[in-house]
Amino acid sequence: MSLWAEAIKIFTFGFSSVFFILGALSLSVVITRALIGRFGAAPKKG
Amino acid sequence: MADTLFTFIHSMGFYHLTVGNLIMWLISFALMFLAIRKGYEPLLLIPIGFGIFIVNLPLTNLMQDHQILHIFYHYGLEWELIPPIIFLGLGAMTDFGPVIANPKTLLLGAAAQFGVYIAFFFALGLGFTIPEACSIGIIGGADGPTTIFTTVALAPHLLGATAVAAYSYMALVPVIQPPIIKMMTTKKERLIRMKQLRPVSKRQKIIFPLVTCGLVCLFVPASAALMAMFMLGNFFRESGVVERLSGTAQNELMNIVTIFLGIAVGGTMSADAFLTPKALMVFAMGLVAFSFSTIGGLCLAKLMNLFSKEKINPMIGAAGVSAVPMAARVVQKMGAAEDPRNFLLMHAMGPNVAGVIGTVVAAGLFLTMAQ
Repeated sequence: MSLWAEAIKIFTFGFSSVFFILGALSLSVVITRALIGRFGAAPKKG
Repeated sequence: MADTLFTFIHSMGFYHLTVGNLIMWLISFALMFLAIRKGYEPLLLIPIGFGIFIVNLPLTNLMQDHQILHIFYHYGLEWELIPPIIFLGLGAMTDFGPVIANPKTLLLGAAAQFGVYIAFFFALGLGFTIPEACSIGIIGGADGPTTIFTTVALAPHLLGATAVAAYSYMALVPVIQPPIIKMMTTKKERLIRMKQLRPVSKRQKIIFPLVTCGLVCLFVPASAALMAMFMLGNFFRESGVVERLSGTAQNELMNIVTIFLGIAVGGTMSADAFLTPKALMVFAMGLVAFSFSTIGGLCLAKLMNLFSKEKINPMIGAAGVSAVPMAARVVQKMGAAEDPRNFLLMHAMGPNVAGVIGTVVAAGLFLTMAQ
């Protein structure tokens, strides 16, 4: 594979993965909050 | 007698001084000056500057096998020990409350990795190899330990240049970012006030490091050393039952490894290794990386405003570069300059700490794909 083809692969896969992973993390924060709200005690100020 | 005198003179470092050594001394004095007079990252620039000074004293051979600087370098950096320990301390110092309160700021931390990839392409265009370009690109994350971690694995010969570039640009955040932020935002946008962050429960703060560590390490195992230690430090902090460990991680341990880190990085900057066109290009690329990372964060924040009912001040996107907490402070200062009653600091801390996670993920992906 040529240098630039490899570079474009690293860019597209890398940058989109950063978004995907941080997006998944963001979603997991929302889900955790919802689960705690539903099953946990009333939140205390932390 | 003359022979003895000649041998004696020849054994002195003075006889072997080169112009390169003198230039490196000037660079070390400049770093120490910035640290002492301007207060720029003194905890790092002082040991780095002193390390540069002593490694450029001829015949001392401090970076040769079994010599003191080489021991710090070998066990601390080549063994990839120091950056994860620094991350343990950073984790213990970090409050993820602003991210948990407003999780979409995690995306701003992702967008601020844009500069990492732009600098990666620039570096390739200048003739660097892919592993070298990855090490240069990661400077854009504005995260010293991650830059060192990546460079040691991918392009150890560039360590001095990338580490000093990363720490220098981190120190120069208050100089580099404001003009870019002003250029990319309107006055109306800079005046946007954001709703106060909602309170975050202790339970959420305890769960966050566990979830983040599990999720990121499962997606990008190559980032585990940094991410696991970062989240362990934060878990110490948030669990609330190991204050001694948390205190040690953020104070004594952090201070000890910072000394070793600084002096080992300085030790890599001998004149023959550092005064090369490649090192100068690394510095230039670092600035490109840093600037485009700021632009990436700003652009996503503006884009979010197009689709969101609740507007965010786009300046907080610029805090997505990791330099914690300096980038957030810059945003606060700029916001207050426009409207003294606009408090953006806590809002900017969200993307700021998200940027650290984003940079570790980007570094892990580089290590996976370029090694």
